[in-house]
Amino acid sequence: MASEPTDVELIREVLAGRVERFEILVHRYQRLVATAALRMGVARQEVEDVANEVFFKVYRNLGRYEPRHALSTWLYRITVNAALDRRRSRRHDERSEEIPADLKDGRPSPLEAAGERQRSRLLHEALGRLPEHYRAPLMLAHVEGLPVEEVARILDLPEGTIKSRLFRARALLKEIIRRHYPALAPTGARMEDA
Amino acid sequence: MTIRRPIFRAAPDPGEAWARQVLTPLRRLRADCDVAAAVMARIAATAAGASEARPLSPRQARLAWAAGFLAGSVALGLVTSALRGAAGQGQAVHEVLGLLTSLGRVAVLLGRFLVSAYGRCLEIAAPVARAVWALFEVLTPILRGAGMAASACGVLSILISFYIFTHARAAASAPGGGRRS
Repeated sequence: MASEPTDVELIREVLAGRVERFEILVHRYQRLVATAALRMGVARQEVEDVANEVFFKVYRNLGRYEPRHALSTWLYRITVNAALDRRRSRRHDERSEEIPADLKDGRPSPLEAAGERQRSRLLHEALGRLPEHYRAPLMLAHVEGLPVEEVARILDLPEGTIKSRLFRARALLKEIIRRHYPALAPTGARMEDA
Repeated sequence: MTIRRPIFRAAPDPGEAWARQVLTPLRRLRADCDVAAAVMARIAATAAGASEARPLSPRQARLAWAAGFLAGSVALGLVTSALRGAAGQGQAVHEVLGLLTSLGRVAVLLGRFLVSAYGRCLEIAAPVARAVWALFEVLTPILRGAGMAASACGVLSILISFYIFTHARAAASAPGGGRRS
């Protein structure tokens, strides 16, 4: 059985005129893009539009791709920008996000699911109060679980800047939660605050 | 990305573990979609030179509206000048001009608004509009002269036709139908 072509190989083929090979890349990364957009606060019903936009943008700018970085880095960058744009344009009618029924760590009971939905909605509200330049690194580092150097590449900023922004973002989020969303505070922290 | 001042004063960093714990509900979010067919269709449409049928964003819609309004105003100006050239300074033209003056005032008000909103865009468009207007003013007498020349030619053509027709008729009414030797 032939091995799967790498991202770079596929991109070279697309650039050489075999446009249909781009579909493999879309299949490979569409879940990553859609999930990142959803976590960045894009409403579920708009995730598909955002993913479509992201891949179309990638296709149009494929010639600018630098193979020394992973394709996912570039995809994250475009997705973060698209999600922030979408949030800005939808700021007036932000909708709550649902937790899907098929959670990875086990199927929750209806009561648990309702609780998770509420927490998720409040979290998006709380994160919405953070300035964008703090929110993006916080989401990439602590929600997407990316290392600092990867976050720095995605946001095109020095690692030191990312570290200081993460520090400030966490401190601000804690303060926001303490003042406005005490229900979101971890159980231990709530007791400490009390 | 615009840098804004933080809303709150500096507080101690609660740490990565705290952030991970708080953001757990977001980490559990998963989205699955299949956009491959849609993306490839869009790419194919672009490759074929088809226009993209995507909805305009509010900003694009406002720009399109402003551009449409400007284009409409220019078209109206062209028609007015053509009317002036063709009909002189008659009463009807005065009324049309009055109406256009009112519309012009409204346009100026809207223009000021647009300048404040899209100043840079108008900085480019305004000289072009002025140049078009100046060009039209220069062309108006030429067009009028060309119109008069065309009318004179038309009249001359009618006279020549009439002359030929009359002669042909006279020839046809002669006995034998042709020339007499």
